[in-house]
Amino acid sequence: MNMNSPSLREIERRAYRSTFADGIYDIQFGLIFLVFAIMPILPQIGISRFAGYAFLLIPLTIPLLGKRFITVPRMGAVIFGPERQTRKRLNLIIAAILLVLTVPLIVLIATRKIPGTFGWELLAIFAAPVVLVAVYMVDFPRFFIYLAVMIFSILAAEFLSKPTGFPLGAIISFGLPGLVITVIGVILLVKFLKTYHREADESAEK
Amino acid sequence: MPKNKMTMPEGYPEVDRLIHEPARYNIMALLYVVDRAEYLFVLNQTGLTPGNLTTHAAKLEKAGYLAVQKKFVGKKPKTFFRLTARGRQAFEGYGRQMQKLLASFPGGKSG
Repeated sequence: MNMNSPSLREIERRAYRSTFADGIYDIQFGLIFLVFAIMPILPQIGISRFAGYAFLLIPLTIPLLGKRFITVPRMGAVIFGPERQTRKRLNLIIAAILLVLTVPLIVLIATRKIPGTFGWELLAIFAAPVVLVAVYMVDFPRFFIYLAVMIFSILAAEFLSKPTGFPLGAIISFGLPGLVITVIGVILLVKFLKTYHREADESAEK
Repeated sequence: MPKNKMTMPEGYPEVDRLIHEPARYNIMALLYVVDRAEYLFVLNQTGLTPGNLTTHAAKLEKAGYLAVQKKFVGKKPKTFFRLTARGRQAFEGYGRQMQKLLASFPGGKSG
């Protein structure tokens, strides 16, 4: 018997995927979309674009805080086997590459050294394959759908910018999917909170 | 013959009774596919009651299949389980025993 035995693989996958049942990554994805949706209107209400990028810190910190204070106290901690750990390390490397690729581009777009639309397209071309690999490494099917929605949103923003004007096009193409994904995440989180109650004192069980 | 081996008719492979019990099989199978897991995680994944999990984990620990590590995270006591090398070998051995046993069933495939 080894890890490749179908039933054991299924047990491992079920245990692994149960760690996504809290909807926290869904909320993170949704909020990233929403930040992209509100970004174009920030200058119009007197907030600089740089400050707008700082809003991205909110979705980025959600998994760190959510897993620590919501998921682990209810579900318990787990360290998966060597294969998952290797995937996790690779994912961190991919995230670092993504950061190195995107931050300079975002700065160039924000300082208008690269024209907005072209800049976003360039960003999408660079980031999409890296994100695709990251999503594959995470091994969670719902994220492929979100990635597809993200690519669709970038294209939709481009197509809608002419008939609706730039800010409205971006708000619609990122705002609507962002709202849907966030709502999915919140529903999953509520279900998770109903299913998993905060841990009782372990010492009481022993 | 080790105490936890089930006596089978001649020609049949012996089955590790300690692992053969469904609740303990579930604990072993889960811990076989992860590196280590907290008590609460094992509880949620196996669907056992706290009392059952504690009892079965104690039996597996006594047989040397399971290592229990207790530590404080903040002010809360946490219990972590992991399979020992012996536990992993025993689980793999159990798999082989069961395959042999099932192969002897009508319609079973040998090997």
